[in-house]
Amino acid sequence: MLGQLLASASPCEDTVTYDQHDMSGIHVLLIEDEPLNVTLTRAMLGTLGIHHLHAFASWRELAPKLDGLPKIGLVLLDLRLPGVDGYQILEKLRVLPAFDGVPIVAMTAQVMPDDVARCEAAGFDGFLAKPLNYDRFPGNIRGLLSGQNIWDSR
Amino acid sequence: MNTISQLLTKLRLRGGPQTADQSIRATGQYLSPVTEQPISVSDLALHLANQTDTPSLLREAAEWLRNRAALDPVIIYLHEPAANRLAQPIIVGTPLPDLPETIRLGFTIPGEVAVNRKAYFVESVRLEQRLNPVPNGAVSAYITPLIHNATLLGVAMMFTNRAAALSEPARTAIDRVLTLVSALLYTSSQLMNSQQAINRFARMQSLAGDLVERLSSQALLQRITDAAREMLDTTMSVLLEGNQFDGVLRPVAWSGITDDAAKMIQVRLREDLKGLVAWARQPARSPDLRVDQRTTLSRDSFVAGMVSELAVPVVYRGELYGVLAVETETHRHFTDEEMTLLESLAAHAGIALRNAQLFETLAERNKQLEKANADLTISRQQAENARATAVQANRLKTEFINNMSHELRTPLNAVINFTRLVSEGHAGPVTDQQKQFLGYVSDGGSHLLGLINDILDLAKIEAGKMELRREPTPLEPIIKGVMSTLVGLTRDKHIILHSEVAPDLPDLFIDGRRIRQVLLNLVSNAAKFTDEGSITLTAARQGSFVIVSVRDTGVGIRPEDLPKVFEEFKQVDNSLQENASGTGLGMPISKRFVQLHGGDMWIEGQINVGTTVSFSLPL
Repeated sequence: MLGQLLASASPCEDTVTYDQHDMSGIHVLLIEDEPLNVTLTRAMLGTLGIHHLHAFASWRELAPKLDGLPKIGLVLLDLRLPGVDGYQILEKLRVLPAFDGVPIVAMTAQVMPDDVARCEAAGFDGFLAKPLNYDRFPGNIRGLLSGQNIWDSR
Repeated sequence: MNTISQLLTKLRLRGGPQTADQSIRATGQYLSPVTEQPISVSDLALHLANQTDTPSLLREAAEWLRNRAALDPVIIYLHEPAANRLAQPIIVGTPLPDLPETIRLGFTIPGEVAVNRKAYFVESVRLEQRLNPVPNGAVSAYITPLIHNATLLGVAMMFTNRAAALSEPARTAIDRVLTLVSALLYTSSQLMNSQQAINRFARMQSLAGDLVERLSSQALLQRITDAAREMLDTTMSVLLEGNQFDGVLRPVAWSGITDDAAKMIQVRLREDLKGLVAWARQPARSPDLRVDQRTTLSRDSFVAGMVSELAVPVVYRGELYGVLAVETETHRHFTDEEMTLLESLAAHAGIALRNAQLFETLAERNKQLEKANADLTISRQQAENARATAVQANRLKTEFINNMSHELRTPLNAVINFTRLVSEGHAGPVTDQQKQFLGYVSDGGSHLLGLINDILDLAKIEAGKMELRREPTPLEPIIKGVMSTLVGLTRDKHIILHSEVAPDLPDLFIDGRRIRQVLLNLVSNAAKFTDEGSITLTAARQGSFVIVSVRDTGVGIRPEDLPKVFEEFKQVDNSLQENASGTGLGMPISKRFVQLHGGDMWIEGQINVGTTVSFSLPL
């Protein structure tokens, strides 16, 4: 299915001007415990030409594999996770040299003002509310990759 | 005893008897024909000079008489005015085992002597059957009252087995010396009375102290009643309190009778002695209740077995509070002094009853106050509980909304975005119809998401957590943007769209995103409820506000539905409107947003004419 999705990917209006070749080499790290969301994110990133998605369901799964990961361009982090939560993972990644300067973004269904404020305080580079906005998603990813802070909390 | 000594001295100085027969007058001495010893006052006075108290004085006098006058035995009864009897007999000489301890006044010979106050000589005891008991061998008897200053003090009874011992001159001499005994007795009783007066005074003082000490009313009334009985030496006493409503006097304290007997006492105003006392507010005495016409009407007014009664009204500052009464089992004439005493006790009772009533009133007030206080505490507690419950409920609501939001967003993420992915061909080619149907799914998902967002907005506003990002913002670009959306919304309808924005509007200090949201809500409603005609959007300055209005020529709204528009989840039921969809939260949220900006929102409308929704924003 994924292959199908990727094969049929076509640029939507927001991505018309985007250079797909630059995107194809980007590796995205996703920590998300809901398999359906992993599939969806992979498909939506696929429409942007991003094909390297490294998905883990928890810190326990991710930690042993950290050293083997290629250079990561963007981290999408769910907040509600089993064991170590998104805020704690943020702290752990921030101290790793491999993630120096890498945008780390909260991607969550916890969208109350308090949650958003906490993410800002914790030092996230962006915030993508679930459900992801299909129309704004490409622009948001593009912005994040180019170093912008994107706070799409609706 | 100083008084007795003085009296004796006086009597001695007087130099003997002043009225006697010739032989006495001549010698100043009468010699007993039997003992041949003088029977004279001065002799007796000398003999008694060293006696210190009444009983020994009487005993010595009797002994002296027995020896000098050859009498045997000599008996002296004392008069007890309170009990109306003779009592405490002193007997010297041959004992009389059957001698009565008390003798009622008026009964038997000594009783008659006491009442008649006249000596009675029995020349031959065998011929006087009423005299009983009589010692063996007695021939004559002489019974004489002991009187001084017109006061009956007692009765002396003398027997002899020698007729000469009670001859007329002997009796005269005996009368003489007995005047001395009477005088001594009188002095002694006066002393006793003054002692009694002192005791009574002390008792009064103690009662007054109780009043001052604010003894509990019932205890005080009890003490007054006890005091009445003890001080007047009566069988019983009772204090009745008058009830102004039914005119019945009921016992509140009693002494000397059982509780059951006391509770039987019920007196109506004007009926029987106590009722008359209460009515007339005058004291009354009855030596014999059984024959007193005032008491024969009501048998409940006095305790069975009681003979004499003294009753006084209990009055305080002209107000009648009840009746204080004492009753005796024996026939008794209450003296004026005793009446005065009972009246002064009644005065205390009056104060006590008045205090009791005041206390009751005060207690009642206190109770009311306490109740009011308790009610207040309860309502305060209830308010506090309600507040705590509300806080708790609010916390739960927020928690619920947060959870609900989170739990709905996760599946919606999949529903909306997968639908879009498929619809836009990322999962293979789609037909137009598939695309149309997928559009419905996507719209449904978006609507659901809109609902969730609205609820979250409302929750945020209610929790005071809705923060506006206010900055100087021109209104016109917002209106233009909204108008272009409106064009899309009314594409399939024949509706003329106008926008009239006053040219001189300054930038407003607003959260442009929220005001745009408000305006979008208003125009989408207008588009929804209008099939033909026009939708007009205006913005103009009015005082210190800018008024923005969205006017349509749609279905309108019933007047009674106008207030419901801004209520949460109260979508106006309007059969005229088809395709009525919406969360029911758009209008309330819009109004809240405007209010957060310091403005307000209102609606006007008429069925089949149209609707105008306006809001104000401060300049």
